[in-house]
Amino acid sequence: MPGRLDGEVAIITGAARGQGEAEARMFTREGAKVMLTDILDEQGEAVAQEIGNAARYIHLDVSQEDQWQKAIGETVETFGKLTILINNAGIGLKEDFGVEQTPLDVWNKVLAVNLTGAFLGMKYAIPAMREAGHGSIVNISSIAGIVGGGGLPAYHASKGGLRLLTKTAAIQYAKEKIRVNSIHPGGVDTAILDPFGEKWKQRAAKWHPVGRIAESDEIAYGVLYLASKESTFVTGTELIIDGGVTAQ
Amino acid sequence: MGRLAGKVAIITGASSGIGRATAIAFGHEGARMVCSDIRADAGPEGYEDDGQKATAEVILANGGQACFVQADVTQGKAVESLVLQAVERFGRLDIMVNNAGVFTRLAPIHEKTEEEYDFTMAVNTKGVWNGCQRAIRQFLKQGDGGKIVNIVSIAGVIGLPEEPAYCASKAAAANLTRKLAVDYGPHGINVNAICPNFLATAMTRRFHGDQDIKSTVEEITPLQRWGTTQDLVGPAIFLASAESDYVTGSLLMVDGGFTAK
Repeated sequence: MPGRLDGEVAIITGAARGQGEAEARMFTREGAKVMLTDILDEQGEAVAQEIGNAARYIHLDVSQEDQWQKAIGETVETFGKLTILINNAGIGLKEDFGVEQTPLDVWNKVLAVNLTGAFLGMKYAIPAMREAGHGSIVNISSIAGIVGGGGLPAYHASKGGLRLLTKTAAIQYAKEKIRVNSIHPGGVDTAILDPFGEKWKQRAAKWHPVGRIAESDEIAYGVLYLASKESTFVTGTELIIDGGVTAQ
Repeated sequence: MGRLAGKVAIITGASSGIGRATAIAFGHEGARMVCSDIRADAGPEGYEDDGQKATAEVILANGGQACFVQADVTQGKAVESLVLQAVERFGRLDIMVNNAGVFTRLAPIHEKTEEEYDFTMAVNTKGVWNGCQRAIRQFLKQGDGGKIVNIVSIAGVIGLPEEPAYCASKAAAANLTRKLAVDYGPHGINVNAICPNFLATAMTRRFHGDQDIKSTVEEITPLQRWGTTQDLVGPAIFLASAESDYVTGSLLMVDGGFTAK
């Protein structure tokens, strides 16, 4: 059976675990070649090896411009082109407590990974996509990029910024058949929630009309939809995968 | 195995345009299709090459399972009967696509008639209400969830020039979608909408056929083209399938970037 991503080549950031790992596994099952990137090298290498020939791993701190250039270059060299970029890497820090409480270095760190990281990814992936003749970029924002919350100011700002960075890039590159969309998950059961504890996860499940938080695959399916040719007329949009939280 | 293998789906307005393309695609993915409309064939205004052939016949010819059930979505009793016939025929209901919609004519509100408003609201809002209500009753009876996909429009989230009744009717359907998602989340019933922009269908033929309007739409759409009914197929399958079990209360824009501006 033909895969839904046959012939495509993707870079996925934050792919050593959680959502990024789920996306890498799903993408290769659907026929894509995938460059997994992360700062967790041991875990990332292990996932890539387990997947096999369709996957490679390279170290990438998304906040570092030179590392992006290198990662894009290696992807094109290894797999011949680049057609999909998933800006999935993201952090949430417990110290990002409130506007008065969040230390400046925490603010800067969150913005550097969640927002600047995606900006740099697009900046260096787009020329390769132009070369390939088409591209799909999926930026993993959050419902925190759509609605405010009682804390996490840097996180909300970074995810909200990513939402509009996505739309702006979508309009700029529509003519070149490079599509850019964002995904806005609600609570997802991954390591990003670890600092907030098991109790928080149980509380979060109750805010969601469906009564639970998501599994990584449930986000990955949305990423697959936006990455594939099934969404060729979709650009600049927000795909909300949140069990109904923001419909309230 | 298709992505909708074994599922039973109803699509209203299934004889032409978005409904027809979606029904045929669902059939390909293994769904057992109940194609509903006020007439069985596509009619002469559509863009179908085989419009004289009913949608259900096309699905059957492709080796799928399908039937046609005539229903006027403005009539609650008719939609109730539609759901009953689907259940009688295929044993249950898993997916309801409320696609039937109308567009009367371009004119600002001070030139519109009460009849135009009533007709537009009856099909585009009450029709969606009827479809959601009857499908949800069946889903609750079955007790294992269900999927509702409402075909709304970008006119449900932004103001478009002229045709105020259409915009109002679609906005009501959009918020009904969110509202029902909140109520039925605990029951495993997903309620989502797709918002297309300008697609070449029988409903828009008079605009697509007008060179001025046709090229204006191309200019103001970032992807620089009109949508096609095929553009709706991927999003509809996604929302109807188990892949979107965590997606509810969402409006999927399929608009070539139109509302990103």
